[in-house]
Amino acid sequence: MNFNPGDIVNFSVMVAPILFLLAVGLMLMLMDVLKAHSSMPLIAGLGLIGAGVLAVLPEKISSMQAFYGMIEVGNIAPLNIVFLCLSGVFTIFFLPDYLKRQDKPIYEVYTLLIFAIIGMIMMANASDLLITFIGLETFSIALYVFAALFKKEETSNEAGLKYFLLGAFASAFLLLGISLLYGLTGYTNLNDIAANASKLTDNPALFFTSIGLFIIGFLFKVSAFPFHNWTPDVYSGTPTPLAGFMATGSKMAAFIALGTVLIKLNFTQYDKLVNVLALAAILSMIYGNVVAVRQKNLKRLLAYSSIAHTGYVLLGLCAGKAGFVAVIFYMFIYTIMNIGAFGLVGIAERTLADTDMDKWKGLGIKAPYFAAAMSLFLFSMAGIPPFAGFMSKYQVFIAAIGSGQILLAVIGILTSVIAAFYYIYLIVIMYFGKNESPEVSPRFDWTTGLGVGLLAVLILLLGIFPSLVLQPLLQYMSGSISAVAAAF
Amino acid sequence: MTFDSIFQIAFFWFFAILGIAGGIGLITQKNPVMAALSLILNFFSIAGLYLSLQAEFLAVIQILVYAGAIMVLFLFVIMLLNMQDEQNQQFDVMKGLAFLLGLGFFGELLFVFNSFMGKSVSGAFPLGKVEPIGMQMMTNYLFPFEMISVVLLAALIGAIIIAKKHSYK
Amino acid sequence: MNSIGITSIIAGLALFIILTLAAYTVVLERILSAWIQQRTGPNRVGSPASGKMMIAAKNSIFLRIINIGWLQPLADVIKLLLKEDIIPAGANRKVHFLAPVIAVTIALITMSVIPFARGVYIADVNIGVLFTLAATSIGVYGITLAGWSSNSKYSLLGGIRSSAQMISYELAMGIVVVSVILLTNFRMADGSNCLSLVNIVETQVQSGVWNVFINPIGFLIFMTCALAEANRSPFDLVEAEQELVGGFHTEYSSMKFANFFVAEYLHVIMGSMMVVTLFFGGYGGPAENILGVASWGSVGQIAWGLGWFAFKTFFFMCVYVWIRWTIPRFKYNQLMNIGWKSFLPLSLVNLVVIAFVLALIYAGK
Repeated sequence: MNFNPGDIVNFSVMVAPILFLLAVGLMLMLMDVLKAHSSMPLIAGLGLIGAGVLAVLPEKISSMQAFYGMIEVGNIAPLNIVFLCLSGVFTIFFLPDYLKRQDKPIYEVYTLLIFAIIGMIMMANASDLLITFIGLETFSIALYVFAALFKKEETSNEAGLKYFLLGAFASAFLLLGISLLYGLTGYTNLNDIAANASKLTDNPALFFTSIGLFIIGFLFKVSAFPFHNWTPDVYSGTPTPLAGFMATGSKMAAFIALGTVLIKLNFTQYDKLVNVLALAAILSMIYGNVVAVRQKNLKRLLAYSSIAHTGYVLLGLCAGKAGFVAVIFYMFIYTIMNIGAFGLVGIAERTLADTDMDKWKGLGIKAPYFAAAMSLFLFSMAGIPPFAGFMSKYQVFIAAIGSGQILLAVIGILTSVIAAFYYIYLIVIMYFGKNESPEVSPRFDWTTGLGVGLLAVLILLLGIFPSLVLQPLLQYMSGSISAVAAAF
Repeated sequence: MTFDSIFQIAFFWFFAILGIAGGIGLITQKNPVMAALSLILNFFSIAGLYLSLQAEFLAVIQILVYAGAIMVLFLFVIMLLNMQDEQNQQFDVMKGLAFLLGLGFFGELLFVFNSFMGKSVSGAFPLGKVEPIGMQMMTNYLFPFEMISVVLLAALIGAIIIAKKHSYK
Repeated sequence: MNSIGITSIIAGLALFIILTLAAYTVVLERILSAWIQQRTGPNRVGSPASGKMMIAAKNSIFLRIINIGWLQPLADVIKLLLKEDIIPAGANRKVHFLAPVIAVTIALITMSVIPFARGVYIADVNIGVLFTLAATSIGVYGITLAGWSSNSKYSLLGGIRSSAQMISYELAMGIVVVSVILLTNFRMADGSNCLSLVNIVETQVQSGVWNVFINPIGFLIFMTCALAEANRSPFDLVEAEQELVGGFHTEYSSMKFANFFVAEYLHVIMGSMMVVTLFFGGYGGPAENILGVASWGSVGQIAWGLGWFAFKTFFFMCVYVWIRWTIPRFKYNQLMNIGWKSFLPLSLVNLVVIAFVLALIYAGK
C-alpha cells in the first residue's frame, strides 16, 4: 500500500461539503458555549447553504469516488448534497420559534441537525457499504435524540425510547445483511460488488437473504408497510418541525442510498426483489391512506400520510434505474411540502397547545394567511394539478408505467383519491368548520413567515416549472448512467 | 489427525458452546445482573473464537472494549438503578407468534450458513493482526475511520442533551 | 519463543515467587508505614530476637533490621483460613463465591506477558501491551460483583464507585500506553511488533535511554492511573472505611477476604512491574554497554537482568506504600475531576506532542 499525502489533500477537496459542515457543527458547539444563541440558527442555515454551494461548485472532477472508492463525489452526488442541505435549511426556519415552547431551549439541536445532515450525505453518497452504515448511524443517533428532546413530556420520552429500540433492531438487520453480502463477495465496496456480480448468483439463497435483510433495514428507516408501526407514535412525540425533518430528510437519504445500492446490483433482473418492493409499496399506500382517514390528531395524520408517501416513492423505486430520477424528485418535493405542513402544525401547536383537528375549526377566517398556506401544502400533498405534488406523483406513475408496473400505478392512483379525501377534509374543517369558543389564532413571527413563504413559492414554482429541478437531475444522472454502464 | 488439529477443534467447540450458553443465559436469566454476566461470558467466548482465527488484536479489543468498558457501564447502570428481578410474564399469542417467526428466521439463517460452509471468502485480507489493521485504517479505510468520530461526537452530544438537567418553569 | 517445558517452569516459578511476594508485600507495607509514622511495626512472629532481648538492644540497627516479623504472613494466612466463612443471608451465593476468584485471577494474568529478564518470560504475545490493558480493564469485575452479590448497601456503593473509577482512569492509561507504543515503534529498526512487551523493553535496553526520560509526563500519568486501578490510597474510595465500613468487601470474611487482600497487593506488584517495563527499561541495568553485559553468557545475563528487574520493582512497590501513607484520600468529585478533566486532556496533549515531534524527526530523516 503506497501512501501519498497528496491524495488525502485531493480527496479532502472532493468531500469539501462534508468537511465544511463538520466545521460548522463544531463552530455551533462553540457558539453554544459562548452563549451566542440567537445567531445559531442563522449560522447553521448559512453553513448548510454554503455546503450546498460547495457541492455544485466544481466544474469537473478528476474521479468519481473519493477516499479510495469510499464515497461518491461525481454523478448525482452533488445534487444529493444540495437537496439534503435544503431539507435542513427548511427545518431551521421553523425551529427557533418552536423551541421557545421550552423555557430553556436546547440549542444543541442545531449542532445535531448539522451532524445528522452529514450522516445523511454520507449515506446517500456512499459507494461503500461501510459508509452507508456509518452515515445511517450518525443521523439515526441524532434523530433518536430529536425524538426524546422534550424530556419532561411523556410522549416525547415514549417516542425517543420506541424509536431508539426499534431503530437499533433495524440497524442490526441491516448490518447482518451487509456482513452476509461481504461474506458472499468478499467486498463491501459497491463498485467491486457490481464488478463481481457473477458471485452474487453463485449462492442465490445467501444473496437473497443478505439483500433482503439489507432492504428490511432501509424499509424500517423509510417506514414502509410492515415496518411502519413506530411512525405515528414517534412523529407525534417528536418536536413538530424536527418530526418534519425526520419524515423528509432521513427518508430522502435512505431512499437514495437504497436506490443506489439496488441499481448498482442491477436488481430489476431479480423478479423476487422487485416483487418484494412492489408489495411493500402497495401495502404502504393502502394502509397509510386508509388509516389516515380516521385520524383526529394532525401529527398522527401526517405520520400516516408519510407512510402512504413512502409507498409512492417505493413505486418509483420498483421501476429501477429509470425511476430513480422520479424518486429523488418526489422526495425533494415531498420535503418541501411536508416540512411546510409540519412547520405550520408546529406553529399552531404553540398557540393552540394541541394538535387536535377540532381546534382548527374556523381557522380559515381567524388566520387567513395560515390557513391559505396550509391549504396550499395540503393540496400539493394530495396531488392536485397546479402544485408541485402533482408533478412528483406524475413522474413516479409515469416511471412505473414505463417499466410495465401497470397494476402498481393503478393502485397508486386509486389510493391518491383516498388521500385527497382526508387532505381536503382538513381544508374543509378550516374554512367551513364552526368554532364555538374563539381562541387565540396561530401567528407567524418573521422567520416562520419567511420559511412558509419560501416553501409556498417553491411549491407553486416547481408545480409549474418542474424542469427547474428535473433538468439538472437528468443532467447529473445522465453522467451517472454512462458511468454505471461502464462499470458493468 | 494431529494433536494440533484436535486441539483446534476442541478449542472451537469449547468457546462455541460457551458462547451459546452465554447467549441463552442472557435471555433466560431473570436477574438483570446475571443476564449481564451471561453477556460477558458470551463476549469472552467470541474473543476466544477470534483467537482461534489467529485474530489476536480483535480478540483483545473485544475484551477491552466490550467486556472491559461497555459491560462495566452496563453493570454500573443496573446497580445504580437497583433493577429488580423480572416478573413472571404471561404467555400470549403475540409472543408465540414472535417466537415462531424468530424460529423461522433462525432456520433460514441456518440453511443459508449451511450453503456457505467450506467456501472461503475471496478478497478478504488478514484482518486481526495489528499491522494490517493499522495499515488499512490509515489508507483505504481512512474516511470511515475518521467519520466514526462524527458518530461518536453526535452520540456524546445526544447523551449530554438527554442526561443534562434543563431547568423548566 | 521458548519451548513448552521452559515456559511451564518459568510460569510455575513466577507464580510461586509472585504469590509469596504478595504476602511479603503486606509485611513491607506494615514496616514502611510504621517507619513513616514512627511506630515499631511487626516485630514478633518469626523474629529471631524478641522479648527482653529486644528491649535491651533497642538501639541496635542490626536487630531492628532482622526483627521484621518474618513469619507474619504465614500467621496471617493461618488466622484467615481458620476463621468462619460467613455468607450474608440475601447474598447471591454463586457470584459471592466467584468475585474473589475473579479478583485474584485477573490480577495474576498480567504476569504472563511481562519479561523478567532477557529471554525469561512466559509468553511473548505480539499484542502484549493491549493484553495487559485488557486484563486491568476486566479486573474491576471482581470488586463490582463482590459489591453487588453481598446484598449490602455499603458493598454496593463500593462496587459502583469502583466501576466508575476504573472507566475514568483506564482511558488516560490507554492513551499513555499509545504514546509508549509510538516511541517503541520509532526506535524499532524494522517497525514491527511494537506492541510486544519484550520489544518495548529491548528497545529501551539497547538504546540505553529509558522511556521515562523521553516521556516523563506519560510516566507520571501511568503511575497515578495504575494506583487508581489498584484501588489504593489516595484512590481507595471503594473501601473508604469512614463512609462505607469496608467497602466492597464488607461482607467478606475468611479466605475469601484474604483473596481480595492478596489481589490488592498483586495489583501493587503488577503495577510496579508494568511501570518498570514500560518506562524504566525493564530488566536493563545502567551502563550495560560499558560493562559488556551482552558477552556474559546466558546465566550471567539472566542474573543481571533479574536483579535489576527485581530492584526496580521493589523500588516502585516502596513508592506505592509511601504514597499510601502520605497522601489523604480524594473526595469522589475530585476523583472524577482529576480523571476526566486533568489526566485525559493531559495524556492526549502528551500523545499529540510526542507524535508531532516523532513525525518531525521522521520528516527530517
